[in-house]
Amino acid sequence: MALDQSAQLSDDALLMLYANGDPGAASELTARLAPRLLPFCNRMLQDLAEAEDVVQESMLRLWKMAPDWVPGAAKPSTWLFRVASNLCTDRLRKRRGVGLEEIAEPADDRPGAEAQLIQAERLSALDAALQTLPERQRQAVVLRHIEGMSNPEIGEILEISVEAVESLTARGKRALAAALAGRKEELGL
Amino acid sequence: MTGPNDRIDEFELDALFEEARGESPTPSDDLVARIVQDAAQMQPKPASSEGHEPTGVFRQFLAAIGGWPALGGLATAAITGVYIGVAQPGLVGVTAAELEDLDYVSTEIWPSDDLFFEEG
Repeated sequence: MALDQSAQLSDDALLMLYANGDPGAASELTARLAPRLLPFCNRMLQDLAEAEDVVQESMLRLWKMAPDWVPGAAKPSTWLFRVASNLCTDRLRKRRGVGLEEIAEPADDRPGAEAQLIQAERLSALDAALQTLPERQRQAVVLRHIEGMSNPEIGEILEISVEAVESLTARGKRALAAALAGRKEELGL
Repeated sequence: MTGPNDRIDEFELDALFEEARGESPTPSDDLVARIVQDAAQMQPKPASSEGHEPTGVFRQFLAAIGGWPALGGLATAAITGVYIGVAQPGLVGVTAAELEDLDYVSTEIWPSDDLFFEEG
């Protein structure tokens, strides 16, 4: 199928095309879904190589499941985020057994921190603060405020109610504000 | 202890989120290649490329009767049947009971009113 044609199709339709042997559907789906999935996984894991592995594994599960996909039942992107979210959780749990010191270091005690931090340092501080949140809060905050998803969609991904999503994001934001408190000037906010 | 001015408000937090959104990593060419390769390996084959020959009614019929040799036998039997029907040789119509009462049977392979050799 020509690229300009496949660009107009829904993810659902592309997945059906893939299951029916269309050679171009997988490339189009990858181009749409992988760039959305990678930042989420990277933010959760704080490790780009691991995040890439999770994205590849999630997409592999999508390809395997394609012949049994029921159109209209769920969005492929929602399904994919749910799989990726669970894979990230599994990896974080394994890491806990290894030791917290192996997780990326927060950049808050870097020598020479000045009032005008560059953007990378500010984002590094945000990521470090995100790492202090419980996993579910972190997932909800990242999906809502960085990936820009709706509460119902996050509810489907995390398999919880919309009210529970609202509660998680509200508590997450409060905890983030607390974690960053006192560093306002340092962060250039 | 942080004072009221050190607190991060909602707008400042939203600005940080916005900044983070713009600084997300993009999938490398290597990752995309790995994903597409997985997809090619897992993709079901299209129905038309599975090596099946086209199956028509005639082909199914031929397979059911046992192939071309069986079709040859069937054709011979059919032609013979047509000939018997048209030419009606003498023995057709003579029952087994009638044959038992006869010492001999006289018949003609070609009937007297031969349809095949008469002109006009």
